[in-house]
Amino acid sequence: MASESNAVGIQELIGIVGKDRVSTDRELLLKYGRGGGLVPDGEPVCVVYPRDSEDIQRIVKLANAVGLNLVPRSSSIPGALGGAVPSGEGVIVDLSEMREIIRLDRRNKVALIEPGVTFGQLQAAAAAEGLKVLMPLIPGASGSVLASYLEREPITIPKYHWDMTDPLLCIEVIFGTGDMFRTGGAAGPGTLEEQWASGAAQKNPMGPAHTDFAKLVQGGQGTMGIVTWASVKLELLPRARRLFFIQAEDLGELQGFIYKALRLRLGDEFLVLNNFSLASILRENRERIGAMTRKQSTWTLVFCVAGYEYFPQERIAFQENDIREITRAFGLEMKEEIPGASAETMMRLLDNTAGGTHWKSRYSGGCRDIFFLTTLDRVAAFIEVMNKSLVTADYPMEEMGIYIQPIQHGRACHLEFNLPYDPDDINETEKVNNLLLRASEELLEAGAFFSRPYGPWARMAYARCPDSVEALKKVKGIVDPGGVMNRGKLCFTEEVRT
Amino acid sequence: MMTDDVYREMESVVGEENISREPAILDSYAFQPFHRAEPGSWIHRPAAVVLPGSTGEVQQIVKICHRNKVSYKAHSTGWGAHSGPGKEGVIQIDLRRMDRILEIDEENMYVVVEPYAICAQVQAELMKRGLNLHIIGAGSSTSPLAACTSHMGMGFTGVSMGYSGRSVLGVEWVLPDGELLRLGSLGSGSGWFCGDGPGPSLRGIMRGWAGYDGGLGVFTGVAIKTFHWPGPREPEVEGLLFDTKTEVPDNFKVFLCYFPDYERWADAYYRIGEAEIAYIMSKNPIGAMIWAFTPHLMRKITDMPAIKTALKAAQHGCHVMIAANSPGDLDYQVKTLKRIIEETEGVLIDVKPPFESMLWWSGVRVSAVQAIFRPGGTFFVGLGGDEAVDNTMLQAKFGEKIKQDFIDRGLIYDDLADVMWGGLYEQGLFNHQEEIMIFNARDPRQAKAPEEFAKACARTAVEEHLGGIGFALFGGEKMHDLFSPVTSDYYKWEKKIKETWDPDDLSNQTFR
Repeated sequence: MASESNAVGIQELIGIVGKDRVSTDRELLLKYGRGGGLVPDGEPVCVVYPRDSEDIQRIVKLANAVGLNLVPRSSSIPGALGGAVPSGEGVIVDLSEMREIIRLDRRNKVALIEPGVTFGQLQAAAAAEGLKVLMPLIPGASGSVLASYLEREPITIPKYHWDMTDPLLCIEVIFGTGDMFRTGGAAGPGTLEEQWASGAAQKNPMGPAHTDFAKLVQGGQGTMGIVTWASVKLELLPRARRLFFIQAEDLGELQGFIYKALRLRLGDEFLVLNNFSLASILRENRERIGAMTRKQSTWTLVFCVAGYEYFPQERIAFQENDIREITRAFGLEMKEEIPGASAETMMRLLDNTAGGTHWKSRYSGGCRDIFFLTTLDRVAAFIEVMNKSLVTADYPMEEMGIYIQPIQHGRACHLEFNLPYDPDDINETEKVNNLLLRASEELLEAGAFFSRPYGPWARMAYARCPDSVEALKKVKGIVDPGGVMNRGKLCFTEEVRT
Repeated sequence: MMTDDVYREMESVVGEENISREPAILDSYAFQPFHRAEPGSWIHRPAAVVLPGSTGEVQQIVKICHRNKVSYKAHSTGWGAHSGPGKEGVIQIDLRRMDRILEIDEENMYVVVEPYAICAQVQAELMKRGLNLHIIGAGSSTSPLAACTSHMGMGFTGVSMGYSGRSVLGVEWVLPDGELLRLGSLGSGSGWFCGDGPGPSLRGIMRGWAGYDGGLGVFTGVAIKTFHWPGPREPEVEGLLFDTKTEVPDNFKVFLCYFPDYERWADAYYRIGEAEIAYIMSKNPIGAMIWAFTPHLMRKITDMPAIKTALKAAQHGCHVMIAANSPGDLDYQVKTLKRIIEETEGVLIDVKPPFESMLWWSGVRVSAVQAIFRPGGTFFVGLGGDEAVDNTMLQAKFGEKIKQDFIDRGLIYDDLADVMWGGLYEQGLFNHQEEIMIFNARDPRQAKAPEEFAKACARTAVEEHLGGIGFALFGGEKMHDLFSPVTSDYYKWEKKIKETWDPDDLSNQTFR
């Protein structure tokens, strides 16, 4: 039941965007509010679909006036991580209909996009200009590019990942105060059109001046404001490319090679999967995934070498040669075919968005993920911690996926454990949820850095850094003093005390 | 206010040998002729100078200041007026005792340094391990911690290593109230490898394009990205600055590239970035270079119109160094560069000995830029920032007109009005441009030039939408009045940050 301020708010929202852009449909609200067991179900009072920045600014000002809790989201429901599930009552600000690619600039390799632009949509537009979208590992076709970048999802090409903000550059954000702010080169002077006329392309991601509000908004799960557009880095679509696999039974066999190759900035796409994750990507159903898992080596490193505008084949040739020498030094072998997959098949998978059921959910219908940042030399130790948790929980070790994504030129990596489960089985759901909570605590204790603390991880992660919590609360007090943006998330809750 | 009691309290923290209010000592901190818009070479004399030796001591000193409402200003290698007190009564916290390299993680490619570990020292240790770091143009005698956390600056290796502000990993930060904040993974007890999170990255408060220059506390440690160094582990070099002799390894090549005009220069820049080649890339303004390295010769050249015209023909150029990890890599990079120069109707000069080693080592070591102080004793930068290559090209074109006017009026040295010291960053993500002007600070008429120059540049930047505030920051607080209303009102938000973390305005920021 909506409170009085929410009821007033709904009428005012209709006044801003029109009746057809506000929904109180109960079925719809239930979907938006589903917490999935890891975060409590939320109570959306309505969904509002703004058309542009002006609508959003008016909505945020209204929220301050009548005390609404605004929960922005860009991707189509359901979200897996709970960041956009309201803590209690909330107005869902669904940005998925703001899906214009405002500008695509081949010379500067940059796109200016609205929050609802999907990977599939941007990829098609970029490819037409000879450009490539930097993607996480096989994202959902309807996934918002902006949401992915704002949440610092890792991209699969570490050589293009210079800073943690990448590939996000400049943003326009409506802070919780209702003020509009543009960051980096987009800040001004001048309108976007005036900047374009002076040759600018919103390429400088820093500033303006002494602060970097884009960094404060990114990773914020919508608690600081609502991003209305962003400029994002694109790269050249290779003229030629080859994909290779290196397989090993022991991760330690790959470690030295990965460090060496990435240090020399060799390779484009560059990632490691365990046999179960690889099989889940290659096959469509439980039986075939199981069979494929058994055929693979425990670990598979997948990487591409590419050539661009100049002498593409020669670039590939020297990179391939250099990499081959490194593999020999480490006693490894580069292959273009592994059981059940050719290089072409794998390249096609990496280049496209997920069709149908997401690969993580193909085995059991659902999947819980645990992910955090660490360095490559510590990955094996975390896997050991995770395996112990599996044993304790009586969860089959051979059904856990592991994905290792080097980032920042190999200085760190995203380590992800995927735990398939049947969401229709209450006992299994409870079991995997409990496993996730306990394993997360143990991993944190072992030094895992939960840089993207969703749901229950927020309490765990922020308990370890009270100094950061205090500073973040000060930031929140500046950009959202009224507390209208996605209440109760991250450390902005009574549970996390400084 | 600084009192005897406060002084004694600080003395009890650092010991009597590490604190002073001896006027001669204090004046050595107040002579700062570089990078100030107003005339003169002296900034405010600090009320005292204190030299803490550890993070704990820095915290204690800052807490004493906080408790007694005494302003303070951190100083590492201190290259300009921005490093010293911006007003009377400020304690200078000189961090030179904190000069250690705390950790080099070879595999994960980062180095953890204290504030006074200088680039030369860090680079020498890294090279032994086949690594290198980005050094800003201020040179190898400067603090990489200051460049990463507190200031800004272009460096030759930006094309392959990126911008200092984006090279920051974990940070240890003494806040204006003396409390410690550790950013990213460091704060969570997970090591120095990441500076962002959990959740929003507080690096956004630490700095933007520029840093606060000591205006938001004191940074006592930072993890900085390092990069592969394919050169000798312990280079043997004879000579100083630009005048060096050494053996250039076979896997390095040094080129000078010249183009008919800015348009084709810009085309080449875009293509070099896209091709992902080059270890070093820099456009060095021709007139300023000659002033720096041969000032007596340049004085004569200014009276030789034909020579000036001939030299200016070389203004649309750049210096490119290639570093390769294999013979195939070298062949590919050289072949690609040649093709790009051919396509853009440029001229490529393959630099041979003895000049090759000069360009090689001064590029790697950033050991020659300091010569820019030779002709006039100082210099100033009025227009500039980082954006798309085409935008920086336009900055240079407008800057040339502004500069020529000042040259014609005899207010600055005649450097052919060539503009743009800068280079690509992150394989073409953006280009850096800064308009260097050389003047004689001891000439009363020229000493006033930076202020007028800064205003002229800032007006043009606003009217022609030439990018963010950039180097106009050095023009002082008035610049915020000009830029902020047309640049997302950023100064309003910066003031809120300052008021939130430092309500008594004790952590002194010279230019704000």
